[in-house]
Amino acid sequence: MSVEILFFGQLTDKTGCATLNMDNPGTIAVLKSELFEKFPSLKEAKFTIALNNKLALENELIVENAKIALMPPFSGG
Amino acid sequence: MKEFILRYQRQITLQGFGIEAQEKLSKAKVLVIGAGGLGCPILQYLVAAGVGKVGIVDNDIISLPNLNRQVLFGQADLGKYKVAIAAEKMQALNNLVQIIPYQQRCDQDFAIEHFPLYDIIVDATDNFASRYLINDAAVLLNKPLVFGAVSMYEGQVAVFNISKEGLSLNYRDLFPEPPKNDEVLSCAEGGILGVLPGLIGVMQATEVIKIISGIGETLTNELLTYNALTQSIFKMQLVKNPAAAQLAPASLEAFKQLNYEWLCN
Repeated sequence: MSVEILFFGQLTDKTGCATLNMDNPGTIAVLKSELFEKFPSLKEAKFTIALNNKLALENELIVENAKIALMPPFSGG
Repeated sequence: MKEFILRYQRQITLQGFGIEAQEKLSKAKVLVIGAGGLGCPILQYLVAAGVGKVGIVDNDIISLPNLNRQVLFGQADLGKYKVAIAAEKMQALNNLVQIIPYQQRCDQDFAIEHFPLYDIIVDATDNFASRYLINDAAVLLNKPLVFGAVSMYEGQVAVFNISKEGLSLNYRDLFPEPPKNDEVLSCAEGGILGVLPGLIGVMQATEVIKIISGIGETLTNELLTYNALTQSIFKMQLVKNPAAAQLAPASLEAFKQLNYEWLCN
C-alpha cells in the first residue's frame, strides 16, 4: 500500500521530482525521516506538510493511499 | 451619484452583488503593503472596483528589472519612488477613491499606528521579515489579512485572521518560524515569470472584494498554491498549530521588542 508525495516550489530542486510514490510510512514523523534519508538536502529546507489537503502535525497517522504535500514558504512579491 | 452608478454599472448589475455590495466597497478601507509585482495589480483592481480608501506602503525606487512584472511603472519612472507613481496613477484612475501614500517601510511602529485605521491589510511584500511582522501585527490588532507570495512559477494566496467555524488562523499556523533568507530564493535570486505576481495579485484583490462585499467563499483558513507551468491549483486546509502560539509575540509590547530582520537573517 502506498502514498503519493507532492513537492512544491524549490523543494523540487532538492528532490529532482515533483511527485513520488512510496510505502506508507505510518506517521508524519517517520515520513520525514525517510524523506531526509532519501533526499538529505531536504533537512535544510523549511516546509509544512498537508495530509489529504489538510495541514498535518508531527505525530499524525497516515491513512492508506494518502496524498501528502510538502509545501515551502514563498517570499517573493 | 449618477457617476457612481455609471462607473460601477458592470459590477452593480451582477446578480448577488448589486448596489449593496458596491456601497460596502465604497465604505471600505484597505491597506496594501508593497507596490511591487503583487501590489501593482492589487491596487489597480481595488481602485477600479471602487474601494473607498486605499493606503499604499512602499519605500522602494523603480528599477529596470522591476518592469517585467510591475505593470504600473514605465521607463520614464525609473529612479522614482514606487509609492509616488502608484498613488498618482491610482488617483488618475478613480477620483472617487481616497488614495493615501506612505513612503516608508512597514515597521512595527507603522503597523501599530496605521493598521487600526484600515479594515483589511494586504501583504504584497517581498521578504520574510516584512511578512512575519505584518502577520504578527494583524493578529495582535485583529485585522483580516490577505496574504500573497510568489516563487519562480508558483504563487500562494491565503486569508488570515477571520473567524470561520470558530477558528481564526494566521501565517504562523502554516509556518511557525521564519526561514532564514538564504533558505528560500527571492525574486532577484530565483527569478520570477512576470505574469505570476499579476495572477496572484488579482487573486488577492478578488479575496479583498469578497471579504468586503460578502459574496462567495473566501480562502479563510486555507492556502491556495498556483502553478503557472501546469495551470494547476492545490488547496490545503489549515489547522491550529500549537507551535504558532509559542513563537508569535503575545502582546504589542513583545511585538515591538522583536527584531524581524534578525529573525530572518
